[in-house]
Amino acid sequence: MVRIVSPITKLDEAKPLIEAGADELYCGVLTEEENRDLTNICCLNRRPSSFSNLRNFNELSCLVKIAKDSGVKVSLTLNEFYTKQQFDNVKQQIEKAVGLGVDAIIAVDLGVIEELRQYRDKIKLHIGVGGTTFNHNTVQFYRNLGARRIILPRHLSLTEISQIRSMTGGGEPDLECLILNERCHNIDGLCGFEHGVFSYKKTQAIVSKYAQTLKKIYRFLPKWLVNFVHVYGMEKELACCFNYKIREKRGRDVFPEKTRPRLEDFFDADSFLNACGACSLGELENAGVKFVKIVGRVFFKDKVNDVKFIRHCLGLLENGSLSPGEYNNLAMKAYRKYFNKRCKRSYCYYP
Amino acid sequence: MEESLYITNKKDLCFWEEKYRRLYYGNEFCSHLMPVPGELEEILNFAEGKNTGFSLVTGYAAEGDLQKYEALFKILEKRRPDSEVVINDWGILELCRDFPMQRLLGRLLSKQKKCMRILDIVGKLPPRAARHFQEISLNENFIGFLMRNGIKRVEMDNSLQGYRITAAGDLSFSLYMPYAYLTTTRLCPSNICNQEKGAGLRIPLSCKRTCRSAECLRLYSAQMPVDLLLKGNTVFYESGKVNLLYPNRQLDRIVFQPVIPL
Repeated sequence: MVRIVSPITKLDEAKPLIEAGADELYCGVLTEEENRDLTNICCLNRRPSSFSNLRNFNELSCLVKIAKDSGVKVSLTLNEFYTKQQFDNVKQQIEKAVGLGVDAIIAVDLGVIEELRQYRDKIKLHIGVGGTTFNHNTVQFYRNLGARRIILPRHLSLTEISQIRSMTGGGEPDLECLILNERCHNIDGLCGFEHGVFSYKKTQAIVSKYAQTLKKIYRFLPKWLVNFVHVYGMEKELACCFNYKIREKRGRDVFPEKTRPRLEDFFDADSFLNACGACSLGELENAGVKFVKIVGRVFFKDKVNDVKFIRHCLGLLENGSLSPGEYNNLAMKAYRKYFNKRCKRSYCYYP
Repeated sequence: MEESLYITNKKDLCFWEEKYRRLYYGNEFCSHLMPVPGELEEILNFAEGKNTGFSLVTGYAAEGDLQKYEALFKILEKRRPDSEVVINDWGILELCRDFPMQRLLGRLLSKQKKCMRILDIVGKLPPRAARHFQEISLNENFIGFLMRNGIKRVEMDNSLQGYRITAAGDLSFSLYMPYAYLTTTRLCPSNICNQEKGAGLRIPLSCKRTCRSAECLRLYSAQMPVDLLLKGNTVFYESGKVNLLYPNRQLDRIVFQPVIPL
C-alpha cells in the first residue's frame, strides 16, 4: 500500500499528523542565526519563511523522538542549490541531522549529494522534486550517487511515471509522487522565480514578529477566510501567480480572443493551491509508486485534514471492490467533505 | 572573448556573421523543437562550410525523448566528434557518457539566481545576503563533480542584478545574451488554447509548433520591475548589457541569441 509523506512546520502538529495516518514527516529548519545573518530568502530549503520551518534543532530533536516512538520516519529538506558561502551552514545541518537520527535528507544539489556519501550508512538520500527526474537515465544517475528514493516532478503523466518505473525495474530508488496542494505550472528545479521577496519587506517583517500569535488566531478563522488570505498571500509571495497582463502582441495570432481566457488557467492561484491527485492514487500504485507526498509546508494549511483525506482515499482503495469510476466518485465526495468545496477538473494533479 | 551564435531554427542561419567562432544549435526547453537527424546533418554541413565549431544544445528529456537524443549523438559521433553537447538533464549526461563529444553544463543546470524581483531588494539586503544573489550555485563539491565528469565549461545567463565568478576551479564560463530564461514548463501555454476551458493544464501529447510562427507575448505586472517575454513554454527577459560585477578571465565566451531561442 502507498505510504503518506506529510509536511510539518511546528512541533505540536506531530502527534495529530501521526494519529491522522502520516507514515513519514518532512520538515526544514530555519534558525534565528541564519535568518539574521543571511535573511529568510537565503534559507537552506525551498520555503524561505520562518512560518514554514522549525525554528531550531532542539525542535527537530523532539520531532524525531516523537516520530520514532510511533514508528514514523522524519526527513530534513536541504533542497536548494547552494553557493560557496552557504555550504558551511549546509554541512552543519547535515552533521546535526545525522547526530539526531533523522532518517533521510531531501537534496537536489550535487554538492550536498556528494557530501552525503560519507554518511551513507547513517542517513538516506532522497532526491527532491527539484532534481528534475524526467527519465530512467536520470534515475540511474541518482542511483549511482546513492539515492534511495526519488521524488518525481509534477510534470509527468501517469504513463510516463509507469514507463520510468518499468525501465528502472523494481527496488531502489523508490519513487514518490506529489498528491495534494500546490501544483506549480512551472518546473520546480528549472524555475527562476524568487519566492520570499514579499516576506522580506517591512510589513511582512512585522507579521513575522507576531507569527506565533497569528498561528493561534488562524485556527479560529473560517475556512473561506483562510483560503482568501492564502490565495492573496500566495499571489504576492510567489510571483509566478501574479495576474499578468498582455502588453503587446505581434505576429500571427495564436491566442485568438475567444481562447485568450484560457491563458488565465496558467496564472490561476486557486487551481495551484487546491490541486489534488487523489483520483489517481490507484494508478500511481499500479505504476510502482510507493510514497505520495502532501505538499505545503505553510503554517496555515490544515495538514491534519490533508492527511485524513488521503488516508480516507487509500482506505477506499484498500476495500478493493470498487470500480475506478466508483472510486473516483467517492474520492470527489470525500474532497467536498474534507475541504468544504467542490472538486474541479482544473485542480487535477494528473489530468 | 569568443563569440558564438545560438539559434534553434535553421531559418535563423541568416544571422550568421564571420565574427562567430562557434554555432550553437538545438533547444533547451522543448524536445518537440529538437532537430530531426536530417536537419542536424544540414546544420553540420553549414558549420563545416564555415569551418566553425559546433555545439548541440539539448534540453530536459521525457522518457520518450531519449531515443531521439541518442540518434543525434550518433550523427555527431560520426561527423563531428570534436563538437560540444550542452547538457540540461542529468539523464542526458548519462546517455552522453558513451560518446566522445565534450560536455558542457547548460544554463538549466547551472542554477543561477535570476528573478528580476531581486532588483527590488538587493540594495536593502545585508552584504552577505546580497552577495548570495550574485553568485552561481557552484560549491566546491559541485565543482569537483563537474571536473570528475569531464565538464569544463558552464553556461550562464546575464542576470539583471549582476553576478560574480569566484573560486570556480578550472571551469570556463559562457554568457547567454540578450535573452535570459526565467522559467519553463511542460504545460505549454501555446498548447492550452487547444484545450477545453477549465480542463486543467495537461502535458501535450503532440505539438503543432505554433510557438515557431508567433512572436512572443510581453507580460507585465506592477510587481515586476521588467516585462516578461512568454514564448512557447518558456518565460524570458531581456538583458543586453554584460552585468559581470568584477572582470574575470574565466568568462571567455558570449553566446548571442538573435531571437528568443524557441
